[in-house]
Amino acid sequence: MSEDERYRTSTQYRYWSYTPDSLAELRTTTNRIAADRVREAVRSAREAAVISSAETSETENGSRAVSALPEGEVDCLTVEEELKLVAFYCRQTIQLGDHLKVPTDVKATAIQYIKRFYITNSLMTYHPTSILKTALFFATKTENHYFRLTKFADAIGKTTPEDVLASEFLLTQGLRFTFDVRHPFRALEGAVMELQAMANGQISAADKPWEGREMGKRVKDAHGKAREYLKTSALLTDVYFHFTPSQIMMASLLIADPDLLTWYIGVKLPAESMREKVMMTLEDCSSILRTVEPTSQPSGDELKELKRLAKKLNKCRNPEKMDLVGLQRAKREGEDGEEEKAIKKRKLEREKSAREGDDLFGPALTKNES
Amino acid sequence: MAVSPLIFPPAPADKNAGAKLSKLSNQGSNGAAPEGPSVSSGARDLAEQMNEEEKQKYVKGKKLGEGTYANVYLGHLRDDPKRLVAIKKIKIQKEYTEGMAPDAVRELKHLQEISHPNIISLLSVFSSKDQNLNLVLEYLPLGDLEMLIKDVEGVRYGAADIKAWMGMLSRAIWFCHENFILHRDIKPNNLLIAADGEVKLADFGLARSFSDPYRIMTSNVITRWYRPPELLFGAKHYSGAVDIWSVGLVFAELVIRTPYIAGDTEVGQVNLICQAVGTPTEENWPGVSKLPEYAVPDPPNPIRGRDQYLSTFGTAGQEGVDLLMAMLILDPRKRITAREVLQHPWWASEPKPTRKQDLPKKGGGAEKIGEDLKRRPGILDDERGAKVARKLDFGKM
Amino acid sequence: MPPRSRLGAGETSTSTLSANNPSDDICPVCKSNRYLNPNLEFLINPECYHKMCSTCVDRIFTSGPASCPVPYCGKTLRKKGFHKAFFADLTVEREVDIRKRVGAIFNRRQDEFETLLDWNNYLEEVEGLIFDLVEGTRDEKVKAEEKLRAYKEGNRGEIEENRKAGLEEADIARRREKAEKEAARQRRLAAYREEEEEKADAQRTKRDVLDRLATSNEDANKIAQHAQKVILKKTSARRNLTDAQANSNGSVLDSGLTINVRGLKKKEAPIIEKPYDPFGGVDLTPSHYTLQKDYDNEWLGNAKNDIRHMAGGYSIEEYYARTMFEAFSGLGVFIEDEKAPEKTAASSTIGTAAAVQAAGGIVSLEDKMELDDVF
Repeated sequence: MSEDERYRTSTQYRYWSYTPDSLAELRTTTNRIAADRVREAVRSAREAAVISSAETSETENGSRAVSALPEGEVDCLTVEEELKLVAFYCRQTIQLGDHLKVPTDVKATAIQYIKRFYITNSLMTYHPTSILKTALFFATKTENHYFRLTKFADAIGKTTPEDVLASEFLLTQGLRFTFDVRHPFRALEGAVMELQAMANGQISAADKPWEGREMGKRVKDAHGKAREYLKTSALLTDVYFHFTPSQIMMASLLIADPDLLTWYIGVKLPAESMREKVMMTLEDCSSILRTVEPTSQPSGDELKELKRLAKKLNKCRNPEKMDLVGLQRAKREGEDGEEEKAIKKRKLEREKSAREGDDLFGPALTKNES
Repeated sequence: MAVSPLIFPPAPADKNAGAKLSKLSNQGSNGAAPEGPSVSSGARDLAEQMNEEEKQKYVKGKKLGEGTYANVYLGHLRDDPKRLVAIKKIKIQKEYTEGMAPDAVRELKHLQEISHPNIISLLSVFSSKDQNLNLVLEYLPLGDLEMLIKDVEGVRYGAADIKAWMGMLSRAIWFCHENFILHRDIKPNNLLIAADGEVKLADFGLARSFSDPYRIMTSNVITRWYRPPELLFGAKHYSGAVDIWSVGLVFAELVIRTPYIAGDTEVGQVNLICQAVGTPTEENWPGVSKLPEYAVPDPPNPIRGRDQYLSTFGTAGQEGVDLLMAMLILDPRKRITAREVLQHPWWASEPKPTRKQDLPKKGGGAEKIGEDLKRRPGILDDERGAKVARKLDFGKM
Repeated sequence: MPPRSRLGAGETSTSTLSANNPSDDICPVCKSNRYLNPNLEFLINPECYHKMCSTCVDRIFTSGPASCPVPYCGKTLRKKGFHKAFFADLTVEREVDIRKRVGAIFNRRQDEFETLLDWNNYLEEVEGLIFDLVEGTRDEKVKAEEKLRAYKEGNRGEIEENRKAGLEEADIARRREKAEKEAARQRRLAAYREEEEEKADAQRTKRDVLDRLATSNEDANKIAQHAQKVILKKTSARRNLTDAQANSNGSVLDSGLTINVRGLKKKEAPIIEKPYDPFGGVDLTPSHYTLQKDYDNEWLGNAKNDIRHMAGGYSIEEYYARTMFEAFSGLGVFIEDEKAPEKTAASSTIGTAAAVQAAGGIVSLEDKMELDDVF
């Protein structure tokens, strides 16, 4: 098995690699379904509210959720808007990770979890602020840098352990129970070590265009620059979905020092057709990486836009999925104590709306469920 | 059913991603949306639908075993009742209040990635309605190596059989290490036997990937009898060598048919190692005295010589004894690596390893795989239930 | 040629009604009936399965091929193609003929298949084909015939092999049965002989004892005891002997069989005798780099010198191996190409592929693909 064949056995390749087109299709579908469901849920919640307020108002929770919703058709987020928000919350995750002083791979894994999760889930259904905390917490588990849950919640502030755990199961399900994320960081160390070994002559390389010490310095500089791209640009763009960690790493070196990288690839891949194909792929990857420069921050206009989108999101959230803690408790325990009454009530409404949904779509359903 | 409700390719062998995708996208562009799968199934998430689809592929049968960590059920493919699987249902642990249990996280993370004839296959994962995780594993009906070792009366085996089993174990651990995974719980009852005689390494509940330099790991892994001296001394930076020590002790146990170094406590384990192998000292293991929990009985025993090994493990042959000694070298840096194990002359020497289909068997049956899979990792059988050896905990990973 | 299945209305009803149906007794061609002619015998020709009485067959076809006298059939029939139907129901007769024909071509055996599922899938495929031939529309039939022909073309060698294997198997079964019968007969004979001998022995010993009692002055008891011992010894000796014979008999029998069995297994023989490969055929040698024993790396300096890393057995080599592997793993994997929908739409058995893969690990997936290619 070659290195490439072995990469093909990873879940990152098998489950989480897409062409740009198919990824866009997936996201469009997810967005469309979520928007439909938001509209449907809001409609049935309104109806329920009308009914229950006619009876007397015991369903405070339900009506509160509804009253937060504007009258008329709900204005849902578009795919592009969702993506902008996800990118923003990924940045937030990096900051949160910095605040908690977790290593780079934990942050990077958390971000990939978030990005993977939102391929099949919409922000309108599950709000990113809760998902990102859970993703970061879960990444500390999978990357062997565990944080005590209470300590974790305290360190974030305004967060209870229950908040963090409420969407853990949702997250793992959205990740399809694949937790391994392959990053380009260690790969960069490998390439740099080999380049240094070439520079100092430990590994002989024909036609070395640089003298040892000069090359050593170049490699060192490229290393630092490439690393910055990997720590930010690679995480905030979609490159993990479209390229392999090796390619992402080489692409970051291509940005850092095009001559060095081109020479290196030439040494490693003597066959011309393969070399050209790889170089083209690296060019593609690097051009995506460049769309988010390592030091760049959202501009004032962009921040304004993001604020608008955050507001918009708050108006088009699926009322059934707002109280994740409550939902989780209901799922886990399934018993109704005092405080769970409201949840139970809402659950009934949800089932009712699901039933109505059945009627609405009529015969198609039986076909699909058979 | 013509239209799949999935957006995703649902299976691991997934050359099919595109097929599903394009179907859905066609639907969209036809303007035939939003009919069909996704919306009509009411309040269910896509992820839940995918989960449901996965779950529908299997039929859960009778319970094979019940443990603190998991219950194991016999199951089969819905499409093919002859194709049996073991379904390991992870229990929600009351005492673990920090979400998905570490054993489950580790087992899933690593089994999802690794595929080798001598490593148990994870076929699928789904959750049942109460959010319990279900791992669908290949069904290995013929029990485990421990059963064969223990049944001294009922099962006779010889040097060729031991070599065959050791070969399969060594391949498994080599493949783990080549994929940068430490198993950290190798012992005879984690080596399950398939219907065709193939031995498969199971239970990745303590596994983790190799640590990068400066990142510490817990030393509190590997069931005591198989735990190497560096872990008993509290090392936080270690390597694949820890698994090799365990492999060596499985080898020894296969030959003498009883656990070779079976201490009652960790201190007892160290003492027994000093007797059976020799006392770790700065001479034979530079730096050992700096390990956090280094303590050995006085006076030190010399390293056991080749002749002594030959007298105990002679059935393995000259080369076999050489290999065993290389696995049981105290200093982990000098211990043989998994790749070197497979390059050892023992494999080429006589007798030839028995072909897997000719290996001695014992009708282990359903109950035994239940026993094996439900066990909490890292614990000796006789301790189960009584006192849990240690609390599993990410804190020290 | 595809047998056209335009059975006349009469035949269709024949097939569904019981034997005392009057149409069973009337020749559809000459209308002579059993009442007048008790010797009436019906024949069919598998070209079209139209039945007629033997007199009509003689009358119409003796002078050479002619077309079927049933209206709108028009098939050219030959006299030697006619035979008596085995089944009263001609649709059954026809189906059985078709099955025989298909079975001779699709003659794979279960042990050729990796898994039960594959075998079942194959059977289903064949059954579908048969159904098309038996019940299908004209188009379906033509298609099915075409499939049959193509398969026959494509698998000539294997079909022949399987045919031979089938014959051989039948042969072995026959021989085994014969051998078993013979062995049973031998056992019976031996048992009979043994009993006879025992009787004769007892007789002889008795005579001996009497003789000795008569001729010597030894103690009578001792003589009797000794005699008893002799009998026992002889019996057990005989038993051992017959056991040995039985065993050798068995092995003779076995070796007679195994010659044939070996012939059967010839296909697999070359695979078995490979030298033992400790790596199990898996080669993970990197192709893009040669791992060095050591690399210069400032960042690693401390770890290399740290006593705790070293004493714990931490392996910098393992770290090197991992960084180098990750640097090149996937460099030549082009997701844009490999994950493009048209490339990935090929197979449709998603669910079971996982299980198949699981069953044989890395190796079996390829086998599975090969099997799929058969169709």
